[in-house]
Amino acid sequence: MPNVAQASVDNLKVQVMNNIQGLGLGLRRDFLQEIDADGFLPDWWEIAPENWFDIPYHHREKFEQMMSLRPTVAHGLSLSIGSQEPLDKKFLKQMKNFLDRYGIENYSDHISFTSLFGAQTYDLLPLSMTKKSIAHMSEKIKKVSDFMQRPLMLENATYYYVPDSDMREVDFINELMEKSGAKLLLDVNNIYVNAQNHDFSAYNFLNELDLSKAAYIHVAGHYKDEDLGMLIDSHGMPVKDEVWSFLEDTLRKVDIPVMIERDNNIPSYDVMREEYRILEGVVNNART
Amino acid sequence: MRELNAQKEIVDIAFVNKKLPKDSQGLKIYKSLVFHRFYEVLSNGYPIFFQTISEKKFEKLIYAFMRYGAKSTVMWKMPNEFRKFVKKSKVLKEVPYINDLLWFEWIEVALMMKNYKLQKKTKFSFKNEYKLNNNTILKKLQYKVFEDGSYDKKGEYYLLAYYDFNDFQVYYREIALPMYLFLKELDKNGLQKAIKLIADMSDEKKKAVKEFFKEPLEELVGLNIMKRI
Repeated sequence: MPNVAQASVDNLKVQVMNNIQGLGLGLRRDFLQEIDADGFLPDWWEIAPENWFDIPYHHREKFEQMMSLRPTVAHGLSLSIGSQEPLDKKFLKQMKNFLDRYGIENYSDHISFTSLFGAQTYDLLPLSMTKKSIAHMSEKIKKVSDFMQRPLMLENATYYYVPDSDMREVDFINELMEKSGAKLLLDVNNIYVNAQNHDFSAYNFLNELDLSKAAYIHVAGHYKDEDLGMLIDSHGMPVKDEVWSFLEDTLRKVDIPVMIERDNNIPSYDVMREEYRILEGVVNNART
Repeated sequence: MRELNAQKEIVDIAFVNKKLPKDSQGLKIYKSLVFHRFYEVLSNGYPIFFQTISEKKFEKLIYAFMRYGAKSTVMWKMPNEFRKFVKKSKVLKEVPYINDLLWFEWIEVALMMKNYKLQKKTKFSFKNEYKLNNNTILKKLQYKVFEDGSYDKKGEYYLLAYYDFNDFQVYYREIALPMYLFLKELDKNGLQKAIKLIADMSDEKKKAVKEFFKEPLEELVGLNIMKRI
């Protein structure tokens, strides 16, 4: 007999991304004031909610207007779901209040940890890919979904170092999604970067990934650190051709919403609109 | 246990100012990413402080602060934790004005990021009661950190910092002691008590005190620094 917590999470599953369709763009404070509500708008927005918990006075009206004009996904940074410490209840409450205030139904974060024993690192750190990590995270994911009254989506993160692990990343993700009931935020740039850095085939990885669990897709930029000889998932550059190409192949396998994520070196809204047009072209190619 | 140990290992490496072996590329990246996140936020939050301290000392301080533990899940609040860490741990006791300077720089961010409600325009009248609005901070400083090149000038300085709802900027004004005391009393006990306090202190009649403060108070109400209650 399923327990009450599991039952409520299952009920939430059907609601995943049901109001989000088409192509999205990360809404950033840097270009917020450049957006003309009567001009170009993406099909949906993605925001980093922690960056909007406190909104400077001069941005509030515009932000609220954008929230009212398009459906939005909140893509968090600080949940630290993989951390070997309990959930931060104060943070969860703050997040739920924010999501409720703006009527945001969709909430995602990362398969990683950002804090340990209460000390923040403000970065996405890699997890041991083990059965125990999966069990630990699954329990936390259920608690988060129940508290938030929303299903949780989790992004496959980049990793530059493999901590004490005994599973392949693809098996780790598949099992985590299966056991926890979470949906996957499929970041194709991260798959590409990990494949290059750890010498495996991004296409084989994609073939083995359980795409029935994927809710939406991220595409972003990266650069090569020549000194260290590794690709860095910076989210601070235009999307590379090889990642556009990988996205196109991904979209031939799975028909879900896609968005461009840009977190650093944020250009003008016009430049983001041009990249959005490229995304439209890639999606059209894949789906015709 | 091994999962926890693996997490401890990464965090320890990121938080300690120590070079890693050549073959630790992956860990080097994490160390650099975490450090630069703190570096960027703190150097942007404290640009004057950043200019007055050596790069090496700043780096050392960041590592010490990371080990102390930044708790805020919201990154813009992290510089305030850094400010409190510097004050509590006295790590920069050779810079006597450090606490005033960090307060001065932090308060601009704090006033800018506050969740203000929509402001109403009102006119000042001695018949109404007022208190300071939440866009305003009064502070007594020991160092002239608000004046470029005078950071180490010791004295008694009274500062009014406020967020301007018209041009969305934070401004600072050095104010005289009577105005500082008047506004403090007004915020605590109301306008009439503030007038009485200054009248008692200066042996002036209340009417004269009102005359003296009328124009500045009209301006402060116009700037939403004082709000009617």
